[in-house]
Amino acid sequence: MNELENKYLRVGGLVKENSLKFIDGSWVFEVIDQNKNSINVVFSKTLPNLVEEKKGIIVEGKLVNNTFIAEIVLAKHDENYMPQSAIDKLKEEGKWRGD
Amino acid sequence: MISLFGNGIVYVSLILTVLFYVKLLKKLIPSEVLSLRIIYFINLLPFILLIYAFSISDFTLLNVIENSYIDDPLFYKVTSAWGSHEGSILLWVFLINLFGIFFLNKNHTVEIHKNIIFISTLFLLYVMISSNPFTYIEANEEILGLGLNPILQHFLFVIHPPTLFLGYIGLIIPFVLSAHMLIKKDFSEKLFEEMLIWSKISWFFLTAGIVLGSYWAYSELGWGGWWFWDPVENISLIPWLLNTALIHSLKVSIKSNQLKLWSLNLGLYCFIASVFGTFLVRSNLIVSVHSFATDPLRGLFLIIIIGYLLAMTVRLNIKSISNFNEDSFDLFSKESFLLLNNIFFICSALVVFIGTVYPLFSEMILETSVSVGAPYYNFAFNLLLAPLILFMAFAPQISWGKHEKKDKQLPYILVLSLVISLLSFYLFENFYFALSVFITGPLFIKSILVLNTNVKKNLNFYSQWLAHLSIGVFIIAAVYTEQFDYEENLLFEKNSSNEIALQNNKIAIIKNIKDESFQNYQRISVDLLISDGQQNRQLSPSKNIYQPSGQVTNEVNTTNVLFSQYYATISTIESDQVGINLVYKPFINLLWLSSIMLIFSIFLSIVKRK
Repeated sequence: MNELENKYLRVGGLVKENSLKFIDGSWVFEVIDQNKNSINVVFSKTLPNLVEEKKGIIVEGKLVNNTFIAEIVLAKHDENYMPQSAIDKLKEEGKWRGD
Repeated sequence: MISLFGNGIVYVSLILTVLFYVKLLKKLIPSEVLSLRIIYFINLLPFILLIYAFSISDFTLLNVIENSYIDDPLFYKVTSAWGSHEGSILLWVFLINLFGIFFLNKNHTVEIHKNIIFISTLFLLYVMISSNPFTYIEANEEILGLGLNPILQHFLFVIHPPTLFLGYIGLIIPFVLSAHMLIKKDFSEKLFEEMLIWSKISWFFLTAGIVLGSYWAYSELGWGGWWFWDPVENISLIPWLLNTALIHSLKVSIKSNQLKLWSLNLGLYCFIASVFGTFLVRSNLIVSVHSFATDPLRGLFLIIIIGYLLAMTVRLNIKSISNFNEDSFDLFSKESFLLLNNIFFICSALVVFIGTVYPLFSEMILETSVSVGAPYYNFAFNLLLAPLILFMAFAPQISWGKHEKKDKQLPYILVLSLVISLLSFYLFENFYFALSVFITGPLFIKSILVLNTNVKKNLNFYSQWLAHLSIGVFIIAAVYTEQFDYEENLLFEKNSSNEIALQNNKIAIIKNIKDESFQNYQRISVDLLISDGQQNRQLSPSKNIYQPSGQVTNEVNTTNVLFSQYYATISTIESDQVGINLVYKPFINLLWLSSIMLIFSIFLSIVKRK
């Protein structure tokens, strides 16, 4: 990953479970991709809505000493937003049309 | 009951449309205009019915259950109607027919209206087959609805989508008019005038819709600010750029009888760009911050609609290609400058188009995933924009046909603009800002000078003058706010001072923390004072916890300092510490003001006819 150091990058993945913490005024979390590669991310601003553990995230920033210093964090938003409990209930009743 | 009603109306509409096409409806209703009016009217009903179902929370409709909640305020219940895919396509159908009704009052050519109804029927079939909004579900007293996505519970959700849709769909009139004129080879000035007014109406809504969307993205955290080159933003910009080109080329077609085939062919692509944009985001083929639920059937159906529109367009393109060289005008004339304007706008639309679809092709053909971001657009788009803005300062004063008199002011204006630009570089020490000052300089100088000349100053003049001026103001504001904004992260600990000194020598003071309950959410807010010793400005960013999902949203709060703004959010709130993210956005309000000026300018040129 050394050739990526100090370049402006965009990284997408999931926020790892139990990794999201607020330490010394910054948000710290781990992002994992579909190949299970992971990276530590530090973000010093307010996390946008919908950033949650095990949810999709896009971060932009630079890689410094193997830590990703994020300048922009984006969370996906969906028109068909639905809480998991509601999805389960619909599935139970056989009325769920999503995936 | 509503499910039955909704499906019934759609069937009636389909039957009447078929009867109308096979000319059997004539036996029942002799007047074709009246039958058109009836079909248009019936096609308005499904969406109105859906709104009604949402307003009374009729939980026998699956769509209502999925997108609204019993305790949502009525305001959001009603607007939830276009929160879902089904509802928003039904809104498309509604608006196509609404435009049809208004257009029918001006133009009675049945052939043109047949095309509008055909396109409307395609969309109606699309929504009914791929995802019927009137799907029935057995009533159950336990069902309270799943609620509208809390992030969408914003007043802009009420006006942004319909406004943008009005802009997209307004382009259907130039489309059907162009197709009709090319098929019938009827190039009368009256029809061109008609096309111009409709493309201006669409431009008005399109611009307003884009600005409202931009403002919403700006005020919502994590949506990338006022412009982010996200695919969803890009696909609204493509029809806007093409429509801007169309308005300029139609002027040539009307005033000097040139570029007629050019304008008509361009008119076809504007609407295709709107439909294509809808297809791209709806099919989820491209990765965007805004994601919509995927369903292969939806994508397939939209491909059929686009295929139909595109086949029609390409056929007409081929037919008119041999006649393109009939235009002739002097190289140094208003006509040639407006053609140049068109080339720039169409190229910028292509730049945005390529950037938006490239990741898709790269993934499908080269099997590598690429993301095209701001650096590409900022370079390619601005490269095209810079000469366009420079031309914009001088082109309006060039005469039609052949330009005789030399512009003696030109070199002086350029030199003056360069001097101001160098001065601004000395003062602000920022290259991009100095560059934008140089590029827009002539436009501002010329704007002032032209008011003192004896050019005929009617509403037409003022609307054009204001439109161009507001683009200049917009560029200055956009570059300034992007180059000079700064932010601070303030962390207030429980047992230490409640004051923190800011970079600009002001002091941030944390006051009280409030916890309030509202109809469908709980609000925890922090009052923050920004003080310079004499004057205090208060900000109250908050975190809202929504029912029924328990989802937490960060709400931005802002306070204005003339044209600039403080922008605050709560980054964390715990028993022992409160973190606030504070951003200073200089001149951001000038950006919104220039956008309002731009929208107002087209409004002036639309109303001037009456």
